[in-house]
Amino acid sequence: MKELVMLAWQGLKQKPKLSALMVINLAVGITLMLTMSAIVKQSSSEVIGYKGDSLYTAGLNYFDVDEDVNDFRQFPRWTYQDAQALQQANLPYEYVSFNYTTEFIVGLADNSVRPISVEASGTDSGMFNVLDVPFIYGTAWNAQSEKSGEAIAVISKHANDHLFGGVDSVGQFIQVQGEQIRVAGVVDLTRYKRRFQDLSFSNNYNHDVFIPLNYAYAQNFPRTGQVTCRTDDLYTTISPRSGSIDMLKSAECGYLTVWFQYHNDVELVQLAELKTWLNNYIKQQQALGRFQHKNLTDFYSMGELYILIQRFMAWEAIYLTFSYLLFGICLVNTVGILLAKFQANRKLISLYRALGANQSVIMIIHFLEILMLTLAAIVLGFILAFAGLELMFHLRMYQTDYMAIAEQVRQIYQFDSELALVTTLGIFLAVGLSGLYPVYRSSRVSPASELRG
Amino acid sequence: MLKMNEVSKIYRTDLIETHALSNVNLSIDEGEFIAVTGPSGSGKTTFLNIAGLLERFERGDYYLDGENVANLNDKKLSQLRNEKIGFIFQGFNLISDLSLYDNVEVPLIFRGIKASERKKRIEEALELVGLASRMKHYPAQLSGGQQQRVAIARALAGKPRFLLADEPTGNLDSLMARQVMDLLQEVNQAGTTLIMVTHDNELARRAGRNIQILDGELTDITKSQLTDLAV
Ligand SMILES: Nc1ncnc2c1ncn2[C@@H]1O[C@H](COP(=O)(O)OP(=O)(O)O)[C@@H](O)[C@H]1O
Ligand SMILES: [Mg+2]
Repeated sequence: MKELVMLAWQGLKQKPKLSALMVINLAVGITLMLTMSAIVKQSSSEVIGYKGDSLYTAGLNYFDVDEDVNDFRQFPRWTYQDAQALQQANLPYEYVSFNYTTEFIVGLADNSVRPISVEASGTDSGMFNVLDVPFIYGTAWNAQSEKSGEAIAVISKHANDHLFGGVDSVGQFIQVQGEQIRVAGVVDLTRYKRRFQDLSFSNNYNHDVFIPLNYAYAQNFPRTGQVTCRTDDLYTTISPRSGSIDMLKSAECGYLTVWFQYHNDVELVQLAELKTWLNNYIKQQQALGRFQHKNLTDFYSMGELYILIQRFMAWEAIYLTFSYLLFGICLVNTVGILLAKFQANRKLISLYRALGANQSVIMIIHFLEILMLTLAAIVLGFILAFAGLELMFHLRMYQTDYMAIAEQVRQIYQFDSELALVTTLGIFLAVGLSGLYPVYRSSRVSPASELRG
Repeated sequence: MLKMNEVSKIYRTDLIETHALSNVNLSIDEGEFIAVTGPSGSGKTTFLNIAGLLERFERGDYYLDGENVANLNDKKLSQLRNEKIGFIFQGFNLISDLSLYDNVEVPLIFRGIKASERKKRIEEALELVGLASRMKHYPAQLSGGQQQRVAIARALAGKPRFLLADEPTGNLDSLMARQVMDLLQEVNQAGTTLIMVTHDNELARRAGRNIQILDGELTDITKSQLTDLAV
């Protein structure tokens, strides 16, 4: 076999320009295909797949009849009033959790590090069950702190690295708007390719600080996530993003995202109970003049949400399709180049035949030649694809003014070994199939044809 | 031992049929040196190619070492070609990217001989043609005569029973031609059957037996001369 590899190498050197052309042609196709497959695969991979059918979010629509409300992006968030009613109903579930997204600048009292602007969650300790993230240090806050709205926080690894140099900061204080907030724990959120808890599915960064809702209310932290009011006039009056929290709480404006988690075995029963309660609640509220829309409630499991998300990535899917098409064209080119190459090798093939090579040996030599060229193309393709992903990563960081967290964004622009393996095998198979006809043709070159003096 | 009965070869193209060989009858014994002469286009190469299993034929029987090759498959034919036959071409047909050593090695690779044995045979063969000291050189670094001697080494390394040479000196000047001829004769005297196509009558006279091909028809000149003498 070693000897045949050497002979294949000879064949390869016969027409170096054709060999180079084939490698470049294939590498271009491979690069584009790898880059797009990596991006599509990484960005469409589930955020928290193992909770695909145990984690649910629900929508309750108080909008007027003429609003278009079809999917989760158009559903309003929960109002304080409805959220309170739900919590007081004491329905069965493993966990329920509410959150809203806010933004502030966080630093240390002694100004020993540069303060950073962060996105944060006003939430309850149920959030840490929903997220199911490992605590690097400390724990979530307790029920007492949650109720009293204590100045307490769980911070991300990213924030902890920046503010405390990555050491255990439990019991230390961070400073937000002049207030000292005690760190209860540090969580690592980097495993999530996307931030799902506020339904943004943003890939740029995750939340860096989690504080109890009651503390967020007490500080009147702005509501920077999705906020809507029943009417525009109401929105103007309440000014829910920055206005007084008490006005917001009493108005028909939604800002809270809800998550329910169920045990798999009782999920359906408990979900039915939730639905019944919601219907009763709606009826009761309709008597008061609310809830006139035709789409009043909405449920999504994490898994269903993800299917929806993927639909919004249509452009990526289109690019992927194009990259497959281009690879197909490259394969057609490959057939042509191989035919030309093997045609140019006729004299050598004829000589090998005269010296005793049978047709199978000729085929093996040529398949080895294709294998070597493909290997070179794959190596080149991977190098170019790495460069391409790196470039796209930097473009993406640039687009976010480098506010995005690099390690978070990078997750989208990288290969995983499974994809690399599958595509490599796929390419070998595809090129091998394209080589069938040229190789067959080469083996039919008759021993004498090219040697007549 | 090589025996042909009524062997015919027809080349068909869209327009014409060429009867390159018609009803060839021939028997060659082990160790003979046969020169094949005839005008250009008469069918000499075709005859040699058929004898060397490079081409198939339409009609007749051909026994190589007692085996009828008419119906053998490609694999078997390739194997016979590899083991029993050594070719020498007018144009040398060396692979220019390979060293002399590697050129001689090619047919041994197809036979599946292991590397150590190959090395021994290659060195022996190059020794025989007087080029052992240059085995790392490339064909382009050699004269035409030397290149043809490498081709002879390549043909001999497989220890063939038959050496088929198609105008082996056609591309060489007379001095080099003589050296190559001397070498071929030496090989023949050591026991290898030699069939050589040439249009040089002087070279043909060195052969033990002369056959002539005219328009695809083969005549054994030596035999007819002998018969002439007898008459
Ligand atoms: N592959 C082929 N197709 C058609 N005709 C051929 C082919 N090879 C040889 N011929 C014809 O067969 C005849 C004999 O050719 P060849 O054996 O090469 O003659 P020689 O070697 O005596 O010059 C010629 O007329 C030649 O044109
Ligand atoms: Mg000829």
